[in-house]
Amino acid sequence: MPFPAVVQPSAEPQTLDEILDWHRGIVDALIEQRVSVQTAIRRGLAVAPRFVGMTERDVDIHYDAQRRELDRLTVLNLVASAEATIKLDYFRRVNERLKDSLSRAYREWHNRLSAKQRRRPDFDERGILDVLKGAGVMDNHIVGRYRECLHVRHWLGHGRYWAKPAQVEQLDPDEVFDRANKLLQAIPA
Amino acid sequence: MDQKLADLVQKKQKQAGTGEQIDWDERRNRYVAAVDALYAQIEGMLAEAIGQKKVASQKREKHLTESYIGTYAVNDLILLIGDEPVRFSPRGRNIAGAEGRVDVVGERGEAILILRGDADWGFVQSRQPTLAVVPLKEETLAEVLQLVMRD
Repeated sequence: MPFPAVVQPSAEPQTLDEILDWHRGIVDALIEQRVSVQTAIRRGLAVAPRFVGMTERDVDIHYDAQRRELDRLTVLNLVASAEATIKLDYFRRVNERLKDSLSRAYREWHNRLSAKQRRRPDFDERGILDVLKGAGVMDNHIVGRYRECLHVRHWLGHGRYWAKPAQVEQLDPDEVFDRANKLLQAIPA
Repeated sequence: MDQKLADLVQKKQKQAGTGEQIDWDERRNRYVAAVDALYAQIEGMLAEAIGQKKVASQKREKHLTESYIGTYAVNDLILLIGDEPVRFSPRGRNIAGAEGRVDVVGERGEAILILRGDADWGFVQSRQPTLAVVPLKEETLAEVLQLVMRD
């Protein structure tokens, strides 16, 4: 049965470092643009049409909202990137029939799945993360702390139509990077 | 003072000295005068209705606080048209792409007037996809009032 054991040619996987680096670049650009608009107000210089008529406070509110949105999309990217890495690692271990304890736990669980589930195994509850946690290869709280990020990822990725989880305001990109990175680093080679 | 701190202060003082100095008091005074001129223009447009007591006009002082300028007094203009109030409310001198702003606040909505030059007030019809600012004339005032007042 074909599993997505390797990255497909058209795939565009991102590492956590690449995502965080992109985030920092855009933050710098936002800061620079905010300063340039505030300077334009002070010096009476031309601004882009969308800023015309804004007070300094309006400009602050505008850029605070831009930053908030940037942070949220970055969190989504970080959590999804870690999920992709964990899934690729899962398929690699299953396909290559590796002998370590995590690979054995994955394969044992995988063999109990239906054909459809084998192609698209669950990730969170009753899924790969449960097996990873149960395999005893890392501190359980590392998985738990990454799992908290999934609340944010689901809320963002599904259109934010249900009540905002508390974690949305609690987890910034640096914190999510840290939690996702700790999890990936803890997975045995 | 710590040397690093002293160096920083000196550097910033030099940077400030190289740019064109802004007379913030003069900016504030011109803005307040332009707001007064705007109110005179509006009351002029409505003079007949005001004379016939169909529209009542009242000014109410308020205070604005802005960076560099500080706190200053400026008037709101409140028009009572029929039984419906419309408030012209200054938002400040430090405005992007303009020399000042006055919001028009009605019971249905709000509109923005911006100052360009010393006395050219215009109604911001749209910002996107292109900026459209219509000079304030009688027909523009009617458009603005229709926009912010109940049907």
